[in-house]
Amino acid sequence: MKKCTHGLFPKSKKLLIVTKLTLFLMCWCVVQVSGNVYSQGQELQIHMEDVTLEQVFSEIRNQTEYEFLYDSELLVDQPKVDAEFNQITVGEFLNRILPESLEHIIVDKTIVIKKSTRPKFDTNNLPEDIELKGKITDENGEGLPGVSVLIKGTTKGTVTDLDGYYSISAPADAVLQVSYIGYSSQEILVGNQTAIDISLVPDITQLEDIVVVGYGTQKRSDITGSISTVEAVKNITDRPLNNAEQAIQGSVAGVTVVNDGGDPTATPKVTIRGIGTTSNSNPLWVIDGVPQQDPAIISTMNPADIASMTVLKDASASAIYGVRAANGVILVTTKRGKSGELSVNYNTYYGFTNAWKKPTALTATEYAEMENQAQINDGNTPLAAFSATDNPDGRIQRTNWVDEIFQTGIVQNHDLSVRGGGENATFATSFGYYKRTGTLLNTEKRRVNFRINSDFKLSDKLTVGESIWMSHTNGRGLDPTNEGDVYENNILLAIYANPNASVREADGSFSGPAPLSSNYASAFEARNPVQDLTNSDISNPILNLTGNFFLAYEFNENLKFKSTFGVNLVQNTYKEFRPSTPNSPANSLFQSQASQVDWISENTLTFTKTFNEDHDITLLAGYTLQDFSFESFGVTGSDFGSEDDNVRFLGNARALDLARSGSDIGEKSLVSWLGRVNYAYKGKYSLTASLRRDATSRLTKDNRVGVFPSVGVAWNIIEEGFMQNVSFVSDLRFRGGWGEIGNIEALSFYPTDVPLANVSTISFNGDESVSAQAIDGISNPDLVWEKTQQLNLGFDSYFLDNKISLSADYFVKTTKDVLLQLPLSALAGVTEAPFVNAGEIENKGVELALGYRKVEGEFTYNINANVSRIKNEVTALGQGVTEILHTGPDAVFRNSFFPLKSEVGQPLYSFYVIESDGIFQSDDEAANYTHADGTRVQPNAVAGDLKFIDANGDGTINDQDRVYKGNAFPDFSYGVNANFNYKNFDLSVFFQGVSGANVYSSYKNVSFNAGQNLFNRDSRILDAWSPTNTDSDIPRLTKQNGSTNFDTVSDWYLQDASYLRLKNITLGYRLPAEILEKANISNLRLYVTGQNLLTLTGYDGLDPEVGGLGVDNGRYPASRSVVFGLNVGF
Amino acid sequence: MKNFIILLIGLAIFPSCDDFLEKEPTGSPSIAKFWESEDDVDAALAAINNVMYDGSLDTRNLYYGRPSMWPIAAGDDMVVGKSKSSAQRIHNFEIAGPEKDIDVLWIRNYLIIKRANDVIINAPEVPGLSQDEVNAALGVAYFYRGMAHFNVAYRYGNQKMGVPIKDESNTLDFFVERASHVKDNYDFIAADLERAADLLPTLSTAEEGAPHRLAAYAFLTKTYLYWAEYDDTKWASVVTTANKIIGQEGRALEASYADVFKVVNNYGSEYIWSATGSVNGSGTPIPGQMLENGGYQNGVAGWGYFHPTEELYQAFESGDERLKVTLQEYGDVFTFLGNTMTYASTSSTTGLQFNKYMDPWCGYADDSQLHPNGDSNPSTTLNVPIIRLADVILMKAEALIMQGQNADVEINMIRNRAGLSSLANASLAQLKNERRVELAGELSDRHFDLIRWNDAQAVYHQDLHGRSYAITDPTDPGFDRAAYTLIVPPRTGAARTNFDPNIHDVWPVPFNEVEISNGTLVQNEGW
Repeated sequence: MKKCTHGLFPKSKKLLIVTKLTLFLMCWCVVQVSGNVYSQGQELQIHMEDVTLEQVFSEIRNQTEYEFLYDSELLVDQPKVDAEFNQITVGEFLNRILPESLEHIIVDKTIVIKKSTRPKFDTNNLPEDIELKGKITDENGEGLPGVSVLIKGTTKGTVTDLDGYYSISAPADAVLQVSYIGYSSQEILVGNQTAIDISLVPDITQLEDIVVVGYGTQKRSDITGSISTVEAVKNITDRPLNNAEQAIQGSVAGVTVVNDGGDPTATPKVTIRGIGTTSNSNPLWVIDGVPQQDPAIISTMNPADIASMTVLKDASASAIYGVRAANGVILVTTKRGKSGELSVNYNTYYGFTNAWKKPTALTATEYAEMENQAQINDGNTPLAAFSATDNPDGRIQRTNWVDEIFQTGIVQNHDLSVRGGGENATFATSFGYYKRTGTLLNTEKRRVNFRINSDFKLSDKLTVGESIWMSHTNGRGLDPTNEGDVYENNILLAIYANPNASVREADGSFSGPAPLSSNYASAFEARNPVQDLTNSDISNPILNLTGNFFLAYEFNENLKFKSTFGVNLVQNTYKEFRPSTPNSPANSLFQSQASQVDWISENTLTFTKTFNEDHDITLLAGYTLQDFSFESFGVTGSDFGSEDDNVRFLGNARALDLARSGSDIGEKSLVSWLGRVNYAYKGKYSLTASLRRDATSRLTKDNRVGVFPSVGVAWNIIEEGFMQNVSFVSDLRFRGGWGEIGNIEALSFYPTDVPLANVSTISFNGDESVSAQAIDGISNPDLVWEKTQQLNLGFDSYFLDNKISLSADYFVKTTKDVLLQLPLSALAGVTEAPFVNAGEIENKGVELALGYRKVEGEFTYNINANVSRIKNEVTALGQGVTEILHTGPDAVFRNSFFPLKSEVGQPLYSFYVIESDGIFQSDDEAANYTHADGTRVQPNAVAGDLKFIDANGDGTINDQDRVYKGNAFPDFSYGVNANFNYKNFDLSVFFQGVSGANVYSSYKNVSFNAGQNLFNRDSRILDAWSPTNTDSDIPRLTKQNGSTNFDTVSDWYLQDASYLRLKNITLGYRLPAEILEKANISNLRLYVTGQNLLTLTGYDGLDPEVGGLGVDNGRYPASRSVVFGLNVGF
Repeated sequence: MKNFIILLIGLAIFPSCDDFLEKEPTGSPSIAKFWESEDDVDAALAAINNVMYDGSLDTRNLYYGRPSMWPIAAGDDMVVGKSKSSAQRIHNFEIAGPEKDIDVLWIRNYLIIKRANDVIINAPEVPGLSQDEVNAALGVAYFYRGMAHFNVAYRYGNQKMGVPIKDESNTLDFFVERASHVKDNYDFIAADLERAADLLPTLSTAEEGAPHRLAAYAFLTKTYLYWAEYDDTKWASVVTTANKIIGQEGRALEASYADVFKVVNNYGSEYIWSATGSVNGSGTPIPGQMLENGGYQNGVAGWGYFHPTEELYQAFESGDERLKVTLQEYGDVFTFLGNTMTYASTSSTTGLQFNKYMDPWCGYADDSQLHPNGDSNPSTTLNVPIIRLADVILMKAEALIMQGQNADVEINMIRNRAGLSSLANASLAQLKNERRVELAGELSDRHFDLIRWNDAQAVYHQDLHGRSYAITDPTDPGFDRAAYTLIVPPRTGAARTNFDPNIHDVWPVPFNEVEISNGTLVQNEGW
């Protein structure tokens, strides 16, 4: 269908329709619809002759508060009319005055004029057939007023009332035609039914007419950038979501969301169009106009509050946000109230989760045999402790430690919302409670949310309002920094722990190391993981209060001013009590308190005007100020006399530990000017250009200003004359854009004047702890903005009456002056490397989105698929550096495995490993593996050891033999989303997957290595190479580890982690309206959801969604869940 | 209404000014506001100590813990008792890439040098400081700079190449080339230590555990000892400097060898310089890291990394009182936190254990001498000697012998205390063994002694041994402490035939450091 172009009336009025279509509410145009729906009976006095319809409409506007919405082309060749009426209702008047080809619908105060889809009908002359009743609802189950219900082939029909109810008399063989602007029409056979409820499906191209963009909204047809609305948000309460990020996963091409394992406290990692920087690659979220980049805060949002999400992927779209937008922008608009409609909704779900996959350890007997075999392989005598005759007790299986640490988790959620309003005030308020216990013992997350959004129309011109959002979360997860630590990773500990040992002693206390002189083979270091998890007493409440007050003033229909003042207050308390344990007798309490105040003032002026009907211009100018301050301190108290729960407070500590106490403070601010021009000609060609100037406190006065331009163009080729005859194409448009954005999020608060480091030490004689100050950083006053340039080319198309949609984008994103901490020479004598502008990183990619929808009939469905490919490359590193070996916590295992490197010409974070070539099948084969000079390449290797490739040909295997072998970022990411509706049933299925991602399974380093102490191992070690099991890829059992099978950072650890996962399948049932009507319920839906029920992957680790940089140290595995839910609306 | 609007708009737009963007560094002093008082100097001096005793960073890799001990454990006195692969690679001279466990030595020594340089540069400029106060600060700074420079020089430098010299003139440079010969380093170190000795207080006037004159002389003696490898004239300097220590300021051998390793004698008559133990922060964790893995009973953390070899056991002459003080073997009865126990081990790979540092557990009936957070920080109140008087005496003895002079007085002082008879015309070989058994398991560095004596190849090309008992339970009636077979402990016991004195006399400069140095740092040949 063709797009509405501008009629007589300012854009903002037109947006009212959009509001009614429940899409969203534009921030500044909160010129609210009045509370009372005007009766169509309001009377007019009209005396006009030979006037155009436009003139008539204008007169109606003068006399009433009605506004009009229509496609101006509709009125083009309409004859002039005479209008002479006294005391006629608006509805009656329009019925008389409009030509046959036009019809009207009145929604609240807006009159929509559209092409007649039906002959005029007379509601007074319906034959007496079956009395048919029903309710027509939108996609959210809310009643739709003003929907036309027509008996096909006749002039008989009716219109739904305010709550969406209709009644009509029709013969049994009649077919009802139901149509409503913004929604696809439906035809339903009456049959012998007396009640037919109909849920209308939005017509996608109509609905998305208006899209939220930075600092405003735009008609989709005018958009020049790569912008995706998140479809899944429309039905956000229809399935259980843990957080807002989950709504995006797999639904937008080019956006990857990796769930960080199954830890309930973990926050998903969102990446838009690849990683362009080694530091902060999180996108910017703008929630009701307030920027937020802290994933910990974003994930505290109640997903049920979200009305729409838009992803600004390319620079031409996001450059208006300048700084912080280099990694893309996600705009979130929350639900607001509507006049006259009070809706109360309650959504809840409850479900069970368990680990998708658990590792298995050897049984006591297998463990003993494995230890013995390893000794025998080395030519040594097995230990008595593992002897079946000397220590038969040792072979008794007492504990399956893996089973002991896992549990069935429970997830539950309650969300209650009330939305509504009167003539001049509307509100939306909600309360949410979410609780999830993890699949590992004693891990959980709780979240409580409150929200109030309200809007007040103080006069015709002035509107004020606010969005206030409070969340309180608390949780206890696993410390991800301990993952690489064999003594603190609970999953590894459960593998190591002796299956012969009990979890607890007879007296109920946790079992510890074995006593002296016992034949008990105790792996001393293998701490009791059940004890570790159970004792974990961590409380981490985060109180977030985000408030945003705005005022919008409309000088006239062309010029509007909007001012927003937003505050984000975060209070984060962390308390960790460590009770005394056999290994660590001292108890202690670490308590820290962090508070941050982040405020923003944004002021924009928008001018919108259409010149000569063909030239639409919107100008935006803005000024914003942002300020952030942060303060935290932490104190450690120790020596608690009692460990009772009620005395685990600092006051009861008998000593304070200075070494584990400290504070951290920082401030930063930003001043920005912004401007944008949108120009569209005849709906065919559009141009967007923006400029933003940011000045930051974090750079020196000379370097602090960055100016970031963008430009985008679009061509609606479908509007061209030559396309009119191409009937299978419903819509086709091409887009192109370029922009440059700055980024300094990597930087610390004061990179140009680094403060001294507060450190601690002991006094000379060790009697006390003392604090000290060290010059431990290097200031770099020459720092400038990191800049990301992005070029985007794409098209959007619809075919066969919008049934098929296809969009594609190609982009090149280049990050220059990348802010890096280059590897620091120890000779510098500081531990913190200075930031420098170095390097260039390029991401190139292609994104495709394909959709099909069937909207007619009782069985409707839509299928949407998207796929994206991103290629990342480091094109330069500055300052003479050509490569960086990554040593951060995400990139290391046990302090000695550094498998990740970034080098010019390679992707960021590439695996850099020694290649292996299978296992030596015989000692001879190992001995014959020689260098040109005849010396053995692996002098100690024997049958069953890994063969490593001497890549540099120097005759030995060492660090210089490493080669690049891919990285953790997938070549392709894809998602498929399908929704089916049949009568009252709905089914949605969501698959998501990646291919071409590599993972370094360092988990195997200790769990497959018989040489590591006396630890128990992963049961897969049973398949280790032996002369009788020669086709294994697991090296032989040995305590010697002479060939450094496991110590070598080799590709033996690398695995393809491609996967296809059924992320979500939901079956829902909506109760029929006639049942609900009696209970005064407008909508009731029951559903059951399965998450992660099916995963296809060749990866044999715990979970292919490893996250981070792809070093899998044995992470908290993803959970699989079955959830039952209920949505009720009143 | 109009006024209201104007008010709101006025409130909304904050006046902009540059002040809004000027954020002064907050939270800790900025460099511009440092070096203004004596307190600042004290804080900067404490920051040097912080590198060695940093409790907040990484207790596992505390300077005077495992990182200092791994290269010493490459000698023949001990094997790496746990299957810690990086430690095994160090012991076996198989380092082929970044190896954090040993790389920290290079890194932290240059960190100490930088922080010392900061004091040397800035202390004289601090307003209001008297010359004495400036000198006191400089004395400490020169001492630590010399010490750290020494620790890095002898481990990485030789006649082929020294190590980078970082002083006041180039403290901010990232890229500094290596000195052409380690002699250049020793020359520089000696100058720093001489200056320190001039400026530092005497032992008796210094704060307990703080740098003092004798400690500077002790490092100077050791510097000359190592320097003499390349320059025979330095043997005389060893003797001269040692004489500034021996008998001075009450320095005398403790009456019995066992007394040396008692907490109460941390600062006794034999003390010159030690790694400090502490239970109020992070002191040296070496005692806990040597203790049986798991520590015998709930509540005691031992890490069990360093297991003494049978070769060390056999190095003791019969009647040497030092044997029982130094080592424990199966069947030895001892008191452990008030409980009588008989030594046996579920985890020792050699059947032996270092007994030297067990006073915090064996000399006390409670855990008062142990760090309360023992599992992650097995520090105790016991100091671990770095250079003690006996070491200085033996250095002097060695220098005398090397100059063809008689060192019987010195050697017999040591032997007689150990209950051994006097030697006449003690040979270099006898001196070497005396040095081995006297200083076993200490930070003196047995491995480097073997290197500089050119004995390493012969020793390292042999297997190291431990004991294996068929009946491991001493309470078993069939137990016999002599009924053991000799075994080669896994991984680090076997002969290291790859050892080449032309390569492995020095450790590899951290591979990462070489890689990022833009070619200024050259790796040691062969590594």
